[in-house]
Amino acid sequence: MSTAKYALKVVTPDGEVWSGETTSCVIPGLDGYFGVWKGHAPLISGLEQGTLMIEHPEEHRIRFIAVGGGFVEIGKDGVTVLAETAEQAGDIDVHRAEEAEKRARERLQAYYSQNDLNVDIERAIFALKKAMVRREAAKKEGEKRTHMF
Amino acid sequence: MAKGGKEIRNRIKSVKSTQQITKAMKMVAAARLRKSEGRTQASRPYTDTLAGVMRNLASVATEVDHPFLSHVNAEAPKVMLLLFTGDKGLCGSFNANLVKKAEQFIREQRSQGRETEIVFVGKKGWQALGKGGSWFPGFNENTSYADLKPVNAVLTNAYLEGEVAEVHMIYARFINVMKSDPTAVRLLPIQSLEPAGEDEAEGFADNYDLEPSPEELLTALLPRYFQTIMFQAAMENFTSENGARMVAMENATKAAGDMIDALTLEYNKARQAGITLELLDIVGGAEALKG
Repeated sequence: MSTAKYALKVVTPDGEVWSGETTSCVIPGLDGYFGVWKGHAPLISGLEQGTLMIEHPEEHRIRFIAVGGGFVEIGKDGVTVLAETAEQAGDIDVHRAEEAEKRARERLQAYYSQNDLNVDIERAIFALKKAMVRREAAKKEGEKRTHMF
Repeated sequence: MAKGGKEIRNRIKSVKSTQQITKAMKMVAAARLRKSEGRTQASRPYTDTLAGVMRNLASVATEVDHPFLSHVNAEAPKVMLLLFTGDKGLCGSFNANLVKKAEQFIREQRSQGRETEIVFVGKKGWQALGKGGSWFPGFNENTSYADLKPVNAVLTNAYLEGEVAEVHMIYARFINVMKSDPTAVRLLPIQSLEPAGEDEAEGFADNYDLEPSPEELLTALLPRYFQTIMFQAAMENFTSENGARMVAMENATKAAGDMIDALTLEYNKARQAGITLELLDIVGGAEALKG
């Protein structure tokens, strides 16, 4: 495994969420998750709702950040993740994420089994995806993992 | 004595307490201004990079036919106006200038045969131009990017369903603390997305792999870009509002100071006159006794 470090920044319209050096990270791209090591080819990719995983070189553990929407720019000087929303997994309230997931599931249920047409289906799916990502991220962070998968 | 000493003293007291309030308001405005300037700075890396990438994408992906880039229903007899103002007054002519700009906009559209439907962000604009209806609370240093979503939904739905031909916005562009400029911008179709120069775009396509295709990427990012433009305008508007309030309150504090000086002078004169009168009385009384 490569130990060469590069700079990684996670910024949202509301400010910087994470900034530091890492040896590798895994990014939820629109075409699926992909990993980045130092020397990656310059790339611009859209971001999907998902968990950004960052190898923390000093603490020897993985940091998880729930991100959604936006894009990532991989340049010569490092990686910049420009996310619409980004939350450090340690700051996520697991209980609230679970509640939100339950609500979203109920809405979907209402739409499909009771034909409740008042449900905004796109929003419900989006909310479910987001809640699941947040719950997952919080859970993985809580386990203090040393490996990504 | 034109006015009793007591009345003047009371007046000085009341002006002093007003001055204390204006001074406090000035300091609050200054603090909020600093905070919102910090916010604008914090969002800059995101917005600047996004704008740069969008410009480059627009010149690479020329075949994209996205409703945000060309009219959905150019024939609609209505346009939508997003009007940013403050929620509160006491900031000089800040709100009035924005309302004036909006009235001018409505007149221009009417002369082209189009009615204007206004979406208000900020109570003051709604008070001036809203005929009943609803308004969104103004943005401040604590509101976030996500808080713009409901506003965004109202605008995009009306536009995508062809109810309105175009969406415009009016906000106070921040120049400096003393000065802001009420500005009208067309939001939809997006006006500010001018393709980058050919050299720059070519360098962009050569230097970066794009994932997914430039077309898909552009389609995914356009709604975000749209909201980012609004977010920036909202932040700038709030910064301008606090700049205007700071200046207005500074002037009010100074005016109160001048007033206190003038009243103190008047009070001293009245007091002098009173003493002189009393002295005359005593002297006159003594003369009479001597007589």
